[in-house]
Amino acid sequence: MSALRLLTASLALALAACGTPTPTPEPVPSSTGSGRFGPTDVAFAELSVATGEQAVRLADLGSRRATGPALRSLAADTAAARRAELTELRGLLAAAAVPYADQHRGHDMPGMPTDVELDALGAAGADFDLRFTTALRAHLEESATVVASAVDSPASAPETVELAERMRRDRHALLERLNRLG
Amino acid sequence: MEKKTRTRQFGLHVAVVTALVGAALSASVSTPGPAKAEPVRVAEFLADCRLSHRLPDDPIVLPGLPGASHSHDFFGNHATDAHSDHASLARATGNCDPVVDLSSYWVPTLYDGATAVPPTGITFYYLGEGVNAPAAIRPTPVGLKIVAGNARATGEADSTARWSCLHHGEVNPSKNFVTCPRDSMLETYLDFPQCWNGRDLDSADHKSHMTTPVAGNCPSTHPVPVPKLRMVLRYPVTGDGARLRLSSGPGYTMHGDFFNVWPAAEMERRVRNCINVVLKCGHDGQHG
Repeated sequence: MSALRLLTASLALALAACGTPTPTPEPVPSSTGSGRFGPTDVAFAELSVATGEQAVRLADLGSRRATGPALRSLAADTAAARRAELTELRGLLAAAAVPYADQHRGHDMPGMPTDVELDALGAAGADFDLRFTTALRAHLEESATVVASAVDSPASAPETVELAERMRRDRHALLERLNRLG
Repeated sequence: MEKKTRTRQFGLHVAVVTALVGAALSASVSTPGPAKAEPVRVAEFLADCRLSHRLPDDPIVLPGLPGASHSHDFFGNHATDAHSDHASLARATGNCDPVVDLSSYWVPTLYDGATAVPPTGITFYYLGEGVNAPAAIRPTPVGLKIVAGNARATGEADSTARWSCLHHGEVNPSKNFVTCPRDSMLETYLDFPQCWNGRDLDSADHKSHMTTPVAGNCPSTHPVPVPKLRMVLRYPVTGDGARLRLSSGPGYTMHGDFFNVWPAAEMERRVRNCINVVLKCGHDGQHG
């Protein structure tokens, strides 16, 4: 997760728009149309578990350290929401008899607070609330993009779309609360 | 090309290879005219590619999920995105030399400060080294997907990345970024595993259908040797390595992805003409 991400994504879109022809998306035969839990669903669940575990660490840190009561409460609610999602995501994989494999440890993925970022935040002093707010916003905004991708993907199974849609609404609701904190 | 001859020698051929490579190199230097050099006894063919596009997509690790990845630099095939499969890639065009190679290759994007820096030298070598019997190497199967490098490296200890400086061997190679002199370029090498299980074009962790040889032989679990893919990238970056980062994190998180879209006949011809008989071929898959 980084501040560069949105800029990077915009640049990539701009580059794709002016440089290369936009490829036509191909259906993914293994899951499209069949409604079967396939590679896209597994990839989404694995990425979301890896992201969610790091997000729990971020939110727990905020609920312990934030000085503003509203921010502390928002952090606690975020942590609770991510824990509930982790249970559901692991349930999706278990229902499909897919053992969870961590494909993303150590990697900087969209919406994923990294160990380095968490360590730096943990070492913050009087500016903790400001820095936590920035990190939480990055998690929520970037993660919203990832879950929207699963909602929109023609390769997602119905149960993935249903969970991802709830995850998307959760992120937008939390972002609204964050914005109201000013 | 900064060929690392030491990594291309194997078994009993060391002395012979060294002598012949030396002879061939000096021949090509001293006789630049039409005189034909002796064939070089190195099992190799290659593709030189360019940056095609940049997207936060990964059709192997995050298939069907556009925008769900960190930024990747895509080389070769022009059409690669989150939804790509072999059929869609095979219908598209690419930018490699030779043009028949429609394969897709990708790596995390390199940033110098806030600026994304694409590599300007992008070479994929297909090599016979690493196994004792190059004559037994089989063509890379159509549609094979391989992820190389430890994408989950948490430090230098569990990383297979290699960063170095072009023409500046005095700068020790490292698993993390190095600081290169002004007249140099930042280089990275990545070798892909070359033993295939003979059955799966991909696997749940995108790794376990492939492995590396043990003492020059592919193990019984992965009995089919295919050419070893070596990616060599050169970035126009010099100076303080501390300014650099990858979209995936620090330098030791470097990894590469390969989706084989070589036409079967072109791959088969190169393996037969170059790899099995241990001869160095050019872009056209022909040897001296």
